[in-house]
Amino acid sequence: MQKYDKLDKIGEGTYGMVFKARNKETGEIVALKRVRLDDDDEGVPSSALREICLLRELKHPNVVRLFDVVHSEGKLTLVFEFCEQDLKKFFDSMNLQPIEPSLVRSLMQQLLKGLYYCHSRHVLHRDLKPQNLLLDSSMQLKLADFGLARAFGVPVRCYSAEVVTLWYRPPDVLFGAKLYNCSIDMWSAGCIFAEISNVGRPLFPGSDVDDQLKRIFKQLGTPNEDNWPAVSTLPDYKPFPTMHPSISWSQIVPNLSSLGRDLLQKLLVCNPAGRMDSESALKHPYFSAIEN
Amino acid sequence: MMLRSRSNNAMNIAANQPKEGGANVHIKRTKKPTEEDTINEPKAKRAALSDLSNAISNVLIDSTKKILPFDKSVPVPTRRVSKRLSNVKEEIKKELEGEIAVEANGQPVENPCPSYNYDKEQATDLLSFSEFAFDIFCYFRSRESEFAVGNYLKRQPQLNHDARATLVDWMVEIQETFELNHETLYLGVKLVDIYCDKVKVVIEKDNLQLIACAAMLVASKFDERSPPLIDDFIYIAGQIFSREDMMQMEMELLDVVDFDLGAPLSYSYVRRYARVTKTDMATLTLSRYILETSLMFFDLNRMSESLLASAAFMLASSMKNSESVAEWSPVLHKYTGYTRKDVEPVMWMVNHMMHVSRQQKFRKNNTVYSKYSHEVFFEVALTPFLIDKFAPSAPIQVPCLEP
Repeated sequence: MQKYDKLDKIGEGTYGMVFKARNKETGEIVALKRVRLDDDDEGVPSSALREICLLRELKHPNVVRLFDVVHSEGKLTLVFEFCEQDLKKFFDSMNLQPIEPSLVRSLMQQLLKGLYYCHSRHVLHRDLKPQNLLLDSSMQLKLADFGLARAFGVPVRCYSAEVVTLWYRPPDVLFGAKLYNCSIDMWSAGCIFAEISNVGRPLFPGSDVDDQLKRIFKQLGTPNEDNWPAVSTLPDYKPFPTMHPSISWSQIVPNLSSLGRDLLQKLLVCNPAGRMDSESALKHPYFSAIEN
Repeated sequence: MMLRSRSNNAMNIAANQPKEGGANVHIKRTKKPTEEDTINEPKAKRAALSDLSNAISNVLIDSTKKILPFDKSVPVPTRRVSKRLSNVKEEIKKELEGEIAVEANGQPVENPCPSYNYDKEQATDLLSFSEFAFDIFCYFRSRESEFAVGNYLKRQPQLNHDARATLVDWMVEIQETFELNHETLYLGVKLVDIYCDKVKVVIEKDNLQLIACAAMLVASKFDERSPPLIDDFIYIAGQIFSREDMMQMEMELLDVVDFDLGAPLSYSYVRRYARVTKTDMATLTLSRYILETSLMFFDLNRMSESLLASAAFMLASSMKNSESVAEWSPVLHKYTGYTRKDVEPVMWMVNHMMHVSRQQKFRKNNTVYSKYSHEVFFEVALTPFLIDKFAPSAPIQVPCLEP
């Protein structure tokens, strides 16, 4: 690690500290993520192992680049491209001033492009949230922190239900579904879309699983066997009072155009089978129509 | 004595020292063949543990007994598939609409079966990943050549075909004992091969089990929801190495394979081929028996994973077809990218391999055979092979593809 001058601590990832650093030879600024390998542990943590092995295959402008992995002195260091900020910090810096509709659209489009790229290379992110979306100085958005990501088989197997930060977790996974596919990321993308248009106000900021589901059903209506067959067979299913959507989407996301609201509603579908996939979402007229 | 329950990660099995003479560990064969194919495939009956006549009763393997000395008499075939697919990434990645099939030499050909689109049919099936399946399999194909394994047995004086086969046989036992996914087994074997091919040092025969355990650990961490613990591996290997050895080997293996764990696996391809042709579970299981046997045959196992899977699938269908070579439909042409002419010569060699696998000298590596003789696996190992086109002593090598 003699190659890098460590600068500031940036934050903490799923399994280690992240530092800003400068390459002594080139002057290039990078982000270093450190993984400690302790003797009493199980060797390389599987989250780090998956992140390294998935990211080394993913090379796309909207996915954070992993430049190198250095193994020395009982630790692994992942060398990433450095980004100025993440989407959460960008929200904070806006002080609730509205974000230009063209920038909202650009951010959402970049998020979907990154997702489409991952999904077509059989990678699920499984932890999308504003903190894990990095922004560089030219407002290029990059998917980051693949610590919970995994490669999926075709067809999929059962995977862990302990994924995705609560506010961005889809109803099927909240009900304990272990069989899921790319639709898990598409729900999170929908939540983030609404949050961008509202300058960082989270769409469903639940306090626990029950509260999370209540907030979702209040806005979208309680699902039933008609619009979501076999929902009641999910492992942690429990009935919720029947609610019908009462608040209009134009109140929830007042800054979004009608086309934007249409896209949002196609992503925020409780039944995962009915949720729009990333390829179709990128073809939505919201991204092609010239509005106003 | 049973190994720890896999749901109970906290339990430390190191505390249960194996007694002299070995503790009996039941090989668990209670899972139906494809746990992952949860929805669409029939459930096999649960088998009683005591019912496993051929189960290995003792998983403590004595390395001096298991790993056989280098045998110079084993022929070392050198021909292998040299088709390169790396340059055709872009050609083969097409939209689902107007998709093209890919010839074995990587040249796009006309869609042999434009009227049938399996993925579109499955579009309402949440778990089939219809929207990405075709892209993903094209991507696998494009990466096959990056995982090609060279003939390291030539360069490694302490290793030979026999030792490798015995090692793979033992890895199948590990997969069963720890109830790991089959993908984990196939990836583990692949990692052992890539490591042995790329590593610069001479590999000690006594280190093979450590390498295999590290490979299975890494493969488990990549694919399993709850990977076995390092102590589990130390136990199953009869404590011939330490925790530190294992952690060091894990890191060395990751360095040598350069953290690239996304190897396309014949196992994934064959499931795809069975699904797009709506083939019954018994035939798919027979294909899997053939592929799992092929893991022990180094030269066949080094060929293109998709071509090997195609050959295994053709052989299984033919064996089910009372010994006449099964039809290679336009649907199979489309989804495998291979024509009958590409696949049939390989199928005959794979059939020869199956005959050889039942010869007396291979009987010691019996785990795959006894596993697939069980009713949970539809007793597919009892299905007669096709008549062998080769002499019993003919070498097992990859037939050249037509140019």
